[in-house]
Amino acid sequence: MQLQDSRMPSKITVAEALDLYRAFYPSPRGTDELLERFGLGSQRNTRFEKLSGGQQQRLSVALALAGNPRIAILDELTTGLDPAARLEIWDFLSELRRDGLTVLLVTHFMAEAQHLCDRVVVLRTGEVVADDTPDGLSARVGGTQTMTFRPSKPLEISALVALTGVSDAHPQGDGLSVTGVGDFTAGVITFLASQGATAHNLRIDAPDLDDAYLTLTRDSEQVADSTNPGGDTA
Amino acid sequence: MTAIRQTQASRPAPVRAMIRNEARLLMREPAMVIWMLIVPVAADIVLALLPATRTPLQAFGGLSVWQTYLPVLVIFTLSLMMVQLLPGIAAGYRENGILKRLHATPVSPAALLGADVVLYAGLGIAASAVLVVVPVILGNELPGNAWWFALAVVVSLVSFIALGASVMALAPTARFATGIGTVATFILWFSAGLWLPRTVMPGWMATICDAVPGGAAVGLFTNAMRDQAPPWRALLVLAIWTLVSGTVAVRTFRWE
Repeated sequence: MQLQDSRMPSKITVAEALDLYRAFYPSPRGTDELLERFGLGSQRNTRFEKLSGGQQQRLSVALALAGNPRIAILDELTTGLDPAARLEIWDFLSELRRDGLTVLLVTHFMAEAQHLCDRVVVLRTGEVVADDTPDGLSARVGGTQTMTFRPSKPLEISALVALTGVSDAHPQGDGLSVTGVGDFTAGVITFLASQGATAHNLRIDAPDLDDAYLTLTRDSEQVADSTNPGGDTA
Repeated sequence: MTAIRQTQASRPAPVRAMIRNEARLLMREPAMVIWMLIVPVAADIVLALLPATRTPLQAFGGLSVWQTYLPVLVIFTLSLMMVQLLPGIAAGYRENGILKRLHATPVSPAALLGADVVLYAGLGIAASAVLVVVPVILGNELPGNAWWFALAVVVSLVSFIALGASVMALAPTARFATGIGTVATFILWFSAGLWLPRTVMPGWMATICDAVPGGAAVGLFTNAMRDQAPPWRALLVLAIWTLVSGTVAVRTFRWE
């Protein structure tokens, strides 16, 4: 288990910390394996106080996995890290997941859940308000997507609106904007192909986990306020 | 079943690993090592090398300067470790979530605090032995009764551990713990006669100091130097302080 805001003594080295925690378990992972897996090989003899934030967090996860567990509980792993360090941690977690380790990740960071998780549970004031895959969760909230593109030749807007799942289509700038639910995008692409047209600058905007989270937790304003003081109130 | 047996079999190893690790971390704090181990031993050797310090003095109640200051140096070392240094270290471990993290391992955070107490108590006993033995090698006399002297070391150590534990438990942060511990240590040193030997203190001052653990402890040591049994009043004072501070520590202790 890895805990938020947990440090190590400032003068302990990476290898010493790993060896200490390995001594707590009956069948630990090897020190070298942990060092290599978490990209800390060249920091082996570096003291904790000299490590960067990302390195400290990687050591923290390495310590949590020193006992060779089958399930790892990781709390607020990337809070306070810069984007590069965050991506680094994400890569390591993806790798661990591929190895068959079950990870329970606690995060306030929706992109993290979207990127790493197979299953997302949203909690509001201690109660489960949703439990789904990241995509399922996004689709469940709102569920509408918007395609914008510039067709290579003029198209009949009424024909677009008639397609399954499309709720609206209108010109936007020098192109078109088509809104709908479900798998309407495939229908639009097929329609374009049948007209011998192609879509330039195609963009599809789908609600992401952030939207889902905001919608699901909207009722409790104090939560949104405390975690996002300058944020919007939808 | 197998898992349980394995865990139990591996119990001593984590604590040994912790003690080794804590010792290594201490060695990386030269200031601490110098004050705790080198300064008292150096002062002891200098005192022992001066021939004048071996002469019994009327003003010191018939003890020599070395015989008067050996107990003070032992108390200096033990209290510095247990009341000034260790509470700050332990409170730092609490503040930085190190104790909390250990809760998430098979090893209890109490093992870390235990490892520290064992390490520093061991160092304290070893330092006390060096403080006695080195001057003897240099030609000074042994304490009048080595057994009473050893008992005084153990009783003082236990009492200082309890005091240090209450400092750690009461202090909200590591800095606070070090601050309180430093003040408490200075009171212990004064009452033990570091600046003004007990035998030359005015009566009222000596009476107050006798009620402080430092003063009570020095009474045990001084009697041992004279080959006398420990004074019961001093033992009682130390027992009360140990009980009270031990209770405060247990009642107010927090892991995080």
